Amino acid sequence: MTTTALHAPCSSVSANSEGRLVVSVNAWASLSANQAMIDALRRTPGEMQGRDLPASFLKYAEEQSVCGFAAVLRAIHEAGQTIETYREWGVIGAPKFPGRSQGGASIARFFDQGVKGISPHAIPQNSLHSLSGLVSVGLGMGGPNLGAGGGLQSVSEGLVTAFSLLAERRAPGFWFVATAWDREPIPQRNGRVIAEGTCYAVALALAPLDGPAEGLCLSFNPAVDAARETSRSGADSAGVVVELSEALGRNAPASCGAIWKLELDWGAEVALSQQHSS
Amino acid sequence: MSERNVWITGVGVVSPLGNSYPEFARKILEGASGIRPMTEDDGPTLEGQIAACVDVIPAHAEIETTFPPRNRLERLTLACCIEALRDSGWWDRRNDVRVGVSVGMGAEWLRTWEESCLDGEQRLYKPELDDQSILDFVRTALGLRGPVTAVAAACASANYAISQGKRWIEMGWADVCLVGGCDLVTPMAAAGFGNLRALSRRTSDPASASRPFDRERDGFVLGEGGAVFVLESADHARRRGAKPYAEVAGFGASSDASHMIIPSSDPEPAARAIRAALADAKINPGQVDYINAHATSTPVGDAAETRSLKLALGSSATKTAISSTKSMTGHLLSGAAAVETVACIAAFERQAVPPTINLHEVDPECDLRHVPHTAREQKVRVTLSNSFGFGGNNTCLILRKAA
Repeated sequence: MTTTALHAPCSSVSANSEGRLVVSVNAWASLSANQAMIDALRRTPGEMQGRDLPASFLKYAEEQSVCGFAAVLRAIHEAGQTIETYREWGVIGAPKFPGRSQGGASIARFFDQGVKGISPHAIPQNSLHSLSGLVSVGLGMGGPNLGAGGGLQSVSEGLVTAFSLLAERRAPGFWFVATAWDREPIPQRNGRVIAEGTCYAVALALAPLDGPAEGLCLSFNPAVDAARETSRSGADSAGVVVELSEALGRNAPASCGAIWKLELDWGAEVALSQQHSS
Repeated sequence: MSERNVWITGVGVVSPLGNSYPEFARKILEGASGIRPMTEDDGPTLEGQIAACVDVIPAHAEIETTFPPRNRLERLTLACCIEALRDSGWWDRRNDVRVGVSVGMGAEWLRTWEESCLDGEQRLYKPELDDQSILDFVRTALGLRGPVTAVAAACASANYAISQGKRWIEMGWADVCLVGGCDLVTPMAAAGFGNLRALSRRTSDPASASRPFDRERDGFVLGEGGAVFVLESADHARRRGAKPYAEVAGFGASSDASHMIIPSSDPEPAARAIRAALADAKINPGQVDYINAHATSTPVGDAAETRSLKLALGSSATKTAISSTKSMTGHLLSGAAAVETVACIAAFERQAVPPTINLHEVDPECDLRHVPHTAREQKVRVTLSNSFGFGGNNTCLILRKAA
């Protein structure tokens, strides 16, 4: 299991002009895990700071939800923060192809065994909103929680949703949690799953700014190139999650400027950067 | 962010109560039930299953000849989008503006893989075949060029989608937005909710099975279909002389942070979403004329919603007309909030509140100002529509009659 987290949350300050939105990244972490590691995370997802969860809380959760949940815990822990800090926050989960493994296995079992092959958890735990719901319930976050994307452009769709909610200040901040397998798990017709890939998760705690940008920040420019030809053949979210993980790993508090950039297919752009006050 | 008013100027609906807005509006105000036994014509079914199914999803040859939908959910979503664009007058000019798309669909991939398996295809087992999401397909087929995002908050999905589209218009990210929600009844959905013991067992009398707020309610009935709306700024709509159905006035959301499936016994989180929507719309509880309840007909959920409404609205909770149109449409899951928005639009247009059918004896724990059996004519200027979902999701959408 590899983990990346940095310990220098920027102060909550702002920059916002002419449609460009900038938010602070108050905590962040990335995580990658194979199937065996995910099984371990189900039992021990991270430092729960005394928060009491049922032993079975992650038992039926989809693998991407487990990794996303663990990434949020790790980000909070490594930033030296408390879970309580985020009680009023919202969560946006952006998994890629949510439910292909566990939900897919349920579909296979349904065709083999009929109604009894379907677990009551099959739908609640394998939908686009399952990741955000799990983080919200598990960590007691009372702000809005929703899933976004779900397909090849899941990260892009999730970030657009995150910025539109942040601009509206519907909560003090939002966790943005993106997950994807580098190689999709393949359910078998007997209901088992072959998962030989690695599941990646990135968790960013995003908060609106009220002053000049400082520290690690995420910016959104809705009109970099409005005339750009629309194309959905852009970056696959699995690659984007890995790139973002690597960028966070390379990032150092002393560096300055953009460290990661994502062009959205409708002419907008998202960038991660370090900002220093002059 | 600017404070532009955002109007609904087009409606595309495919539902158990008809595939056009006029037909839906007429039937919802007549108190018609769309719930019936499922047949082989509805696709693979489980024995004895009842549901509110769509008879036929309209096909649109001028698009589908070049861009054939790969499954029913794709065809349903495409049909709702096309009808909404046509109804609004944007169809022939859809490529002249930036049209965004935000549609609620929580189980897009489960539905896609299940249908693929039923059709003997391999998408579940061959990930490389999943090269396009449904909204990506819609955007490509219609040649749209704005932001596109599927959103999901279980049965509250469409309220989020509508709110997101409003935001995009306000922030200038899109000129026009297609927003709503769509979902289908499938064998796996029926089996999953059945095994959760969430469904009504009153299968021998389908039309009376969904009975929100009634003392004898015993679970919900699945429904399918969806609705998509065209949103644009009021200024924009006025300039082109478009007919407004309603103004999207306010939205509120919160999470129970309590349980993945069971609604919280604490009424405060849902009340917080309702209060947030009122604040967003800048109105007080006494200004709401009609509440379209989430009320799915489950024993726990309807009573919990009643407590939240009382907490959020105070004395207005028992003075404001309320109904659950799920008594007629069944529960459309990701499409529920969208179809219930159509019901609110019908209330504006006809100045009448749709009823809760099958409400013979009000549960004492649900003591609100119900509209049982038949529609009630009254002034309707502001509607409030609750939608809650798995993951502890609470949302509330407020519409205002467009001036």
